[in-house]
Amino acid sequence: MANKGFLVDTSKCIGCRGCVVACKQWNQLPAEYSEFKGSYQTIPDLTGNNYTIVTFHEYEENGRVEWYFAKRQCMHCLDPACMKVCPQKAISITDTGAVVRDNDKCVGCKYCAAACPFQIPRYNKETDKETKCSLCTERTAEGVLPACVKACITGALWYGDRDEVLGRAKERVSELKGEYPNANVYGETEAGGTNIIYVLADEPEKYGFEKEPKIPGPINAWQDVIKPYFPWLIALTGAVSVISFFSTRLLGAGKEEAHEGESIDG
Amino acid sequence: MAEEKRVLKSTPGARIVHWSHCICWFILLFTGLIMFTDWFSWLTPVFGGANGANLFHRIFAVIFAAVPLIGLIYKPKSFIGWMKEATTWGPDDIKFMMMFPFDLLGFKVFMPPQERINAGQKFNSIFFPLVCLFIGLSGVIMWFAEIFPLWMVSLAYPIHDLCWILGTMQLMFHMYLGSLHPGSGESFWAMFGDGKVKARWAKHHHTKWYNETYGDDE
Repeated sequence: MANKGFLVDTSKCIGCRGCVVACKQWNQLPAEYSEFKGSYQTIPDLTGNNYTIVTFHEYEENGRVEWYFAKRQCMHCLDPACMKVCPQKAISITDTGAVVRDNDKCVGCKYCAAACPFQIPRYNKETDKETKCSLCTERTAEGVLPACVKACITGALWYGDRDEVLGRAKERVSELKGEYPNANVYGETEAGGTNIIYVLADEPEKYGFEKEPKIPGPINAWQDVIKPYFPWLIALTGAVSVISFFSTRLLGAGKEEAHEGESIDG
Repeated sequence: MAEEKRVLKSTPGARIVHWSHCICWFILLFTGLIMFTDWFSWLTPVFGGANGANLFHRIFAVIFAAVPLIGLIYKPKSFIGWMKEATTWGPDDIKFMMMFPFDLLGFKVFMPPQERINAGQKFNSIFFPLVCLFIGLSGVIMWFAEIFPLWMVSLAYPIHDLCWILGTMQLMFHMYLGSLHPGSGESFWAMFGDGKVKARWAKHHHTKWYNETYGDDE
């Protein structure tokens, strides 16, 4: 089956946060209180009870405040780092390309949170699990749109085959180029490509995205070098000990007493 | 037959820390291996599932860290003394280390006279506390990952794994040399027994220390 994902057209987003509410409602996530910190962004960050948020990035440009909204959630990478590091194999890719967690297998170790190039997974203290968006796999399997996409009133979210999403994104960017010369598609190649594709009206950094999201270097060293090769050192010293056990007895045969108690140095 | 003369080599404090780390290391190792490789998935039910293993891992991690820390607070001089012994290296220690591979395999070589802990044990006495320190620090970061910056968390995982692997690597030698190696004999009881070793053995294996400490008795 073809990969499916959705388009986040930030140029059409009005920051209503209908997607956030729909997500919380569908996933039955409790409300969390937050403090007013001088921004209209009511939920400061993703949490164990907020799988998606809309981030508000405010800049003073051309003598007025410009708002850059970006819906954030799991990007559903084509080559997900979280799946690679999960020691319980609790993360898998569905046949439509969604990166999903098996809640029963998850032990809340937070390895995925450290590996994610987009810093998405969040720990939920109440359930002792790591959480994230599932691309509403249980809904899409029944032919229903993801809750956030369903709720979007401006058409900023559009769900479909990844190729089609990408095609729409590129088309939209070429439309925007006139007014927004820095408009770009985000997610086509970032972190090896993602199933969630963004249309950004300006540089990714302005939306709080990293231009080149990467799996942290130590995580790669851990997974690709330390885990597969270093344990052999234990086998090596173990083997040398076994060899020594026999060779000392073979070479020292008959001279046991000398080695044990008396004197070898005269 | 008169009882053979025995001399004190390891203090009660040293033995308590050693015992606690001996037990904790293996529990931490096996509960940790469940999170490290599929090879040990058969062990999971023993600890009541992976979550249970993680709980055991944390309980014993606290003991693992607390026992030496309490010892450090209770008897700091004992720890400092041990570290002084371990960090004082002379020509005899270098010679010992150079000859050690031959001795390990059973060739008859001249081993220079040693102090209370020989050069190999000196290395061990620096290596294990360092490994444990880094395991402990990285473990705290992994446990409370949310409150640490991401770069620290992503460093903690490889450090934690690297340190337990290097520690267990060294432990293979440590266990063998402390028990089944023909020359070790007595030293096993210095840690697991009453801390005393046969004087005759001590004089041969830890000549300098024996002569300094008990030499006058003769």
